[in-house]
Amino acid sequence: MQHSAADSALNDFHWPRGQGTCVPYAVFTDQAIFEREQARIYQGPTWHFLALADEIAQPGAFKSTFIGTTPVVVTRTRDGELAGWVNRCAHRGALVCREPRGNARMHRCVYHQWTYDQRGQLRGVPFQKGLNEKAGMPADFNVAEHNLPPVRVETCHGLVFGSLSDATPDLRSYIGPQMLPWVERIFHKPVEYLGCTRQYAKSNWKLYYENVKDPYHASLLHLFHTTFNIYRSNMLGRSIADSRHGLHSLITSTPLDDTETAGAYKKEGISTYEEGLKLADPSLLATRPEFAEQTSNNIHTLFPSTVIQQIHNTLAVRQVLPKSAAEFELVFHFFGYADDDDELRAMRLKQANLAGPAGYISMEDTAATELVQRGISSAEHGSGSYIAMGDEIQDQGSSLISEHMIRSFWDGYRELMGWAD
Amino acid sequence: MDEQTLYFRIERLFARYCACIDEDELDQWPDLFTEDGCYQMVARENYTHGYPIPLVLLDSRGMMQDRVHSLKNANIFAAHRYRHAQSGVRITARDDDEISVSSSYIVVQTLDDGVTELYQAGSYYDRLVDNGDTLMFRERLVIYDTSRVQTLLATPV
Ligand code: FES
Ligand SMILES: [Fe+2]
Repeated sequence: MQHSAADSALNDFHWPRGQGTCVPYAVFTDQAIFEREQARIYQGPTWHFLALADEIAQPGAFKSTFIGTTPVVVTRTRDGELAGWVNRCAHRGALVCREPRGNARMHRCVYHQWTYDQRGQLRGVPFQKGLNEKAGMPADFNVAEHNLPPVRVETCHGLVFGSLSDATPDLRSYIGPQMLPWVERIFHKPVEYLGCTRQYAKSNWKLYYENVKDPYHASLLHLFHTTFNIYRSNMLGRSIADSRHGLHSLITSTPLDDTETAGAYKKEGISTYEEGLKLADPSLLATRPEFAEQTSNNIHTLFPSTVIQQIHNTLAVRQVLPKSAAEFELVFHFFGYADDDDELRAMRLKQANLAGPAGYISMEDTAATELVQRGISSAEHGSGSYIAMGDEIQDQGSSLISEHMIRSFWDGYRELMGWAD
Repeated sequence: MDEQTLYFRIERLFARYCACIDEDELDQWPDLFTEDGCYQMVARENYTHGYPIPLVLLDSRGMMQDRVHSLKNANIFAAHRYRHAQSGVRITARDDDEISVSSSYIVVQTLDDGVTELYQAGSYYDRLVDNGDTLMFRERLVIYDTSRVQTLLATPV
C-alpha cells in the first residue's frame, strides 16, 4: 500500500496516557487520520452492514450503498446468490449504478455503455472492434480483465455484510462467540424490511460510536425515556465489550419496578425526573413482549459501522457512514418479523416515533455529537477528552454508569491504527 | 360551497397552520386537527417503494399534544425557527364528507448563529373536514423529499 507523507507522519502520533482514557481530539478533526481510517479500517479487515436480505429478496434486486466512503452495490443474482462490487466503472471511473435501489439483469455505465452483469463482470464494450474495421480496443484487450472490483458479501441470519479486504475472517468469526448469540436473539426468525430514515450529522463518526457505547448519558441527555420509564440507569443492565479487542459491544436494560427507580432519581436531585408528567395518548408506549428476556433496550454495536437496535418493539439496524472527518450519515433500517400480526406491526410503526432522526429518545444523540465537534474543532494541539467513569468497578459487565466500553473501543481502535503501546 | 370560497377557506387553514409552526404558536397546532386526526411524515424514498416506516406518526390529537409537550419539556436540540413556503394547492377529490388537497412546501431553518438553510422540501397530502365554522385536518400526510434530515427533526414540518 502506498502511504502519503501525511500518513507516514501519523506513525508517530502521540496518544497520551494516564488515569482513565484520554482521546486526543485530533482523531475527530484531522483529515489525514480520517484517510488512514478509511485505508486501515474501512478498506481493511472489517465487515460492514449493507442491507437486510429482505431488501434484496428478488433475483436482480440491488441496493447502492457505501463501505466507508467507497460506493458499493449489493445485488441478488439470477440464481439467488448475493454479489457485491465497487460502484466505479472499470473504464474511466464513473458510477455505474445510479439508483439507490431497483432491479436489473445487467448494469450499464451511461458514459460509454460498458455493461456489467450482476456479479460485476464486464460483458460488453461498445465499438470494441471499432467501426468499419477501424480503431477499436487493442487486439489483446480482454473483457475478463476489466471487471468491477468485487466486494466480499456474507450473510448472517438475514443480515447482509460486505468487506473490501481479503484478510477479513469469515463473518461469524468476525462477530465472534460473545456477540453472535445477541445477533441471533434479534434475528431468530425471518424479518421484513419496513423502510429507512436517514440523518446527517456534522460530526465525526467515532463520536457516534462513543455515544452508542455510553449508557452513562442515556438517562441524563434523553429526558423523555427517563420520565416515562422506558430506560433507567438502575434497571437490570448489561454492558459488554468484546473481550478479544473491545471493538464490538452490547448494552441491554431490562425494566425493574417503576416506583423504586423513580425514587432513586429524586434522591439524587437529578433534573431528569419530572413527577406527574403523563402522556395524553399513551398508545405510543403500548408494547408487546416478544423475547424470552424482555429487554426494553438493546443496543448492539458491531465495529465499525453497524448498530443493531431493539427498543421495545422497534427493531432497526443503524448504518454509520463516515463522509469526512467532521461528517457522517446515519441510516436507520427498520424491520419487523415476517409473521407479525397487524396489531404488532402497527406498534412497530408507532414506536418509530421513539428512535430515528426525529425520535423522542434519539434526537439528542446527533445534537450531542455536533456539540462535541463544535467544542473541539479548534482545540489546542495535544488536548483530549477524559473518560474515566466506572474505571474501578469490578463487575464491568452489569454497570450502566460506566464508560468502560468506550475505553475498550479506543484500545481496539489504537491497535488497528498502528498506535498501540 | 362554490370553489372560490372553498379555496379561500383552505388557504386560511394553511396560513393558520404555518403560523402555528413559524410564529411560535405550536401549542395550538394540534387544534387544527380533528380529535382522531393523523399527522404523519414519510420519506419519499419509502413512500415510492411502499415501505411504511414513518419519521413521525401521530395518530390522535393527544399524540400531537404529547409531541409539543415533549419538545418543550424533555427534548434537547438547537434553538431554531422554520419558515414555510407553500404552493400549488390543488383540490384532488371532494365529497360530502371530506376534501382531499395536495400542495408543495419548502421549509427553511434558521439557527441561533443567524444562518438560514434549506431544511425540507416535500408534498402535503391532506384530508380536510368541514366542522361548519372552519376546515380541519383529518389527516396531513407529509411526504418529504429531503430524505437526509440535517442533524435531527424536532418541530413538525
Ligand atoms: S466511464 Fe463507464 S463506460 Fe466510460
Ligand atoms: Fe443516546
